[in-house]
Amino acid sequence: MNRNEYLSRLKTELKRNNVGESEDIIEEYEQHFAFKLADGFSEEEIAAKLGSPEAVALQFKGERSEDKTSGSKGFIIAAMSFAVVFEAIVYILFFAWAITVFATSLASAGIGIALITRINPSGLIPYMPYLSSLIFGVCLVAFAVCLAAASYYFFAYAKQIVKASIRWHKNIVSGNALPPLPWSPQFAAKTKRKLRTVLLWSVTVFGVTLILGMVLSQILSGSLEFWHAWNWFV
Amino acid sequence: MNVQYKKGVLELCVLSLLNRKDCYGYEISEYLSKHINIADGTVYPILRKLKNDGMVTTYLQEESGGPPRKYYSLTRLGRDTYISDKEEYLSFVKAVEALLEEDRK
Repeated sequence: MNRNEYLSRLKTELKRNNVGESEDIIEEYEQHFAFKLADGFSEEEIAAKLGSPEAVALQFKGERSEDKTSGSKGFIIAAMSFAVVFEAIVYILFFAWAITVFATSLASAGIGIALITRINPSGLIPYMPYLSSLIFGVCLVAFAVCLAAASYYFFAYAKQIVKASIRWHKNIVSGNALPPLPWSPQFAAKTKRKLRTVLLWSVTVFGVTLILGMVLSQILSGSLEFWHAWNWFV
Repeated sequence: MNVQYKKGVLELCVLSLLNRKDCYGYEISEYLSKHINIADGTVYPILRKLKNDGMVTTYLQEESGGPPRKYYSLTRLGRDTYISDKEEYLSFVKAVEALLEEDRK
């Protein structure tokens, strides 16, 4: 077998065994021939020493079969594309949830600030003494901070699952295994500590001011159901 | 000898050579076939596998009077793997040797 016969048979065998990047491989064998010819070997000798194209192609295939792409590639790609549609629904829900939490946080902060500053846009806020208003205002701002921290986490989470699943898809389809990404967000230790402190404090302030505000309003209004005493729902 | 079995050991030999210096494919092939009786074509699938596993990277280097050569170079992962695999292999061989000696008695 001469050089050209060997290379073309190798090419066919590589294709038959679904080995990718066959041009790259062929190039390596072309160089091998070139070097050996320069050393004075004949094409037939070189081909014989290389081993049969069938055996060589099988060795290239051997390394591939360890990958997960053992089934037909077209089927895998089709299945993965189908899966993407359902995954996208989950991602959109995740992002929507994060946005909802963030919007609630903004609303809560707005009302809280209105209560503290006694600004009453178009009479939306019902009557209460300023002390109650102040405490409930602080309570709502604390709630807003807590929700803002939570929405920060939810955004990070949503972003991470999208990233991780893109990596997962890529690995399955292309077969070259990159390290899988974690499915939960990875914060720096400092960020994590800060997030935890903010959450802990805001929840504590929220709880304490809520109870304090309720009790104080009940005392000030002289009624357990202070909202009726102050005619909130009339 | 069993081809699959040989392949793992040959990988170690290639890593060992690349640990000393960067080489182009033919250089590695020549080096191995000088020491071990294998078909010349066996080396290239091994190099490809090492590359796919992230053990080696390749780069092209111009040579005077010839096409650029593809050089193989050990990555950090490749070096770490080589060091640990070498230890493992040597202790394995020692154990097998002791076992076979046992058989002779």
